[in-house]
Amino acid sequence: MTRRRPDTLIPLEVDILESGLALQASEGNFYGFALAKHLSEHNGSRLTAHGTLYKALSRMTESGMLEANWEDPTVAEVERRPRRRLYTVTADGSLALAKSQTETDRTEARVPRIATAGGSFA
Amino acid sequence: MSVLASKPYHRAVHHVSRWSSWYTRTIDTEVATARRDELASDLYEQAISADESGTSPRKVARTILSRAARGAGADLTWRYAQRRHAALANPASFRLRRVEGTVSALVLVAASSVAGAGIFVIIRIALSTIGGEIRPASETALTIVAFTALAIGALALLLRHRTRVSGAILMVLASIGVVHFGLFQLYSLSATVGAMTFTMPGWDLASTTFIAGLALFFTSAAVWWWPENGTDIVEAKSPLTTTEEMAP
Repeated sequence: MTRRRPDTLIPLEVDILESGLALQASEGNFYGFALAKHLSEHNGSRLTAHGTLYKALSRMTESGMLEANWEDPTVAEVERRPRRRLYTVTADGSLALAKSQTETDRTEARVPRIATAGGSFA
Repeated sequence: MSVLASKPYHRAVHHVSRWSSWYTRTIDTEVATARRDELASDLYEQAISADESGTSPRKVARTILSRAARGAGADLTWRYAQRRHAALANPASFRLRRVEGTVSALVLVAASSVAGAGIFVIIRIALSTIGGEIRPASETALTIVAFTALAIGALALLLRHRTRVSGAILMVLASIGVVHFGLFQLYSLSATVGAMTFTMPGWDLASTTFIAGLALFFTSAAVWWWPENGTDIVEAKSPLTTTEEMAP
């Protein structure tokens, strides 16, 4: 099994950063289920599995792409719900996303040339 | 009916809670609590979202269980990473855990062998009884059955972290009984054991040393596992009570 380079993002991380930035723009931050719901609506897929989502969030927080803080307990108490862990995309996260998008654009730009040169397989 | 108050939702939360308690056990308490709290929040928010969209409680429960099942692999690799991280931060504890693992494996192999030997002798007794070679339900045979049952019970206790000291202590008695009476019974049932008893010099000394060695081995395991040596492993047992407490 090949190990991925530390500076490359896997598709889920790209999705988390994109959705996270979108939620952050409207709400100021985001939490686990809001992110899972946004990802599901955005990609038309099922809700991301608990393990997959929280493992990715934990890894991205450790690597500095996200910042995590527990919500003020009084807010949760007033609203009679469990407190949320609130995330924000950091400057490093935004940079990693921009880099990944540039990389993807470059790859996509290369693919049509190969396809055109290769012609038809029929 | 609100999803939060429905039985299918509570059942699903209960299953996820048990699973999360299991995979967060024996890892850093703070990290484990954070994961369970975050999961509790997720399950609550999903129920609220389902109420808003008019999703049925059964469908929500199915989705929750599906999310838990699909993420089980990631949960386990996360657990492995957390344990590894903790081990690297504290090499002494990591070494102790490795020694613990080796001791546990050796004790389980030895205990399984004793129980297996007892079962083997019982099968030989049963076959010889059916063949009319020995009288049924002799005192030796019943003693072997009793010690084999004791060995199986001790083995079951050894499998649980909390009861393994009792298991090791019982295994001392069981190993003495199974090996001593087993060899005594095989002397009349097995041509090999019979021949070895007569021809091998020092057979008595060898068998007595073997029995004493086994007893000493299980005694050492009991001493090694005595609660003072096993207090460094903390079991995380708090379930996702937060979500259930929040339910009206």
